[in-house]
Amino acid sequence: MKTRDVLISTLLLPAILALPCSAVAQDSEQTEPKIPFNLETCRALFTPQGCCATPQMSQKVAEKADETRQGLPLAASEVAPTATTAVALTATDQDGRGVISFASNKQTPQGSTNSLALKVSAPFNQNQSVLASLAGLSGDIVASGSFSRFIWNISPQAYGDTLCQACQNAGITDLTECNETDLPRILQEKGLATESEIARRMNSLQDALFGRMPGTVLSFEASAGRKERTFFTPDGTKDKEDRSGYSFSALGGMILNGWSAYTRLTGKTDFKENDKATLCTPITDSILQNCTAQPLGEAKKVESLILATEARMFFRGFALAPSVQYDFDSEVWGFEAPLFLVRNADGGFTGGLKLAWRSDQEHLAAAVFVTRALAP
Amino acid sequence: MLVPVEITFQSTARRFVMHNGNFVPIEPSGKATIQCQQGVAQLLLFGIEGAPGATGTLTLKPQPPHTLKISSHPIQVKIAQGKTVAGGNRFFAVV
Repeated sequence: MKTRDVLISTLLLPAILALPCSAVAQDSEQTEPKIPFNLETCRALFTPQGCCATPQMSQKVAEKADETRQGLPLAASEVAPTATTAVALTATDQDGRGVISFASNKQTPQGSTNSLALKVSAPFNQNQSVLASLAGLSGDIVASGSFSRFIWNISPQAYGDTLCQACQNAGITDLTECNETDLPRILQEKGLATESEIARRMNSLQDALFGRMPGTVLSFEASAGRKERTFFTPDGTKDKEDRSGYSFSALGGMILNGWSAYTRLTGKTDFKENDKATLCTPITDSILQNCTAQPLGEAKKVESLILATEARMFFRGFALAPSVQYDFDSEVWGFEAPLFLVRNADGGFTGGLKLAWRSDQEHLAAAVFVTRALAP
Repeated sequence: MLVPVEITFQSTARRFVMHNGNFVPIEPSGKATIQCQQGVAQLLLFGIEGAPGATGTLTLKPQPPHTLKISSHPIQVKIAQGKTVAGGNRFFAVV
């Protein structure tokens, strides 16, 4: 196949030049001449630069790619570097706490999206719009970070082969009409397939593009929090401590065509305050007492390691999101099965019935729930 | 001659666009720019991932005074019931 088959300028330009300027400037979809359909051209365009249908074409396209690279700004898709598409550094006030956060969202030419978020929050000093200084910190401070990556796993060439062959079989003569919007219409107009057959073929095209697993997700999160706690020692003196709690989690997910599955491992070290005790001291010249309640003794360290797995399945009128969890430290199993039946105005599943069970509790709990729209 | 073509891909779902076999980084606003050889057949492959019913609208706008030879534009894509992804393609040329 020769380059001129791909370059349609020889076919297009004379026709364009023959048109009055006003016609060219108008809505192009209505008046442009066709791009002749050719099976090899159609397939070749699904091939990434640098590898082509024939050796001759490979060389020509490679030459063209070199020319293109020299003339393109960095934003051009052919040479786009890992582009930072959004970075934000913000400082806000949320519920009396100052929050400084940094977020970055990058899409790469390899088809993955990377998101990074860092956040530090601390209480404001009372009645002042400044963050409490470390020396005078009266409350807690929390720092957290997360990184996630979504990777598309699609098959453009398998899709291209299937689509181009279908367009050839349908007798399409204009390359611009070789797509999943025009192809069903043409098949119907020509009486080449029944409605159900057309739907089946369109499904096959989608399957060719996305395969069994269109995407994967990886995510890591970590956070640490310092909290000042006061307590009574056994002899009744008041003491304080500020040990930090921390947590981490790693998540892996598979987006499948019609459902998704995730597994998350979460480790956490936290502190739980003891039951409170009351210390009362007599008030001079009064029969009354002044009492103060504080936890008795230092907070207890609580560690947990939880493995959870969840599936999200979408059906025509409902969705299911069953999940199983296991806490290795307390050796407790948990199971939840939300059945989504109610949708919001946008069609997202937002509510329904939920069954829940824990191995340390004997009964099965059922509840009606409302949540934000379920995403795959 | 290379002509910049601005892409706007509006969707609340996760999305991708490929131009002639290469992924195009899209800004969170949905905008991206590709460079197209004038008068040469181009391919745009696109897709979204999200809950059933999620939609996307993709619009191509070449730098004036250039126009497009394209069919069924702006491009609409919608995730079918029981599915989590949807995609499609357009062949076009900048004239």
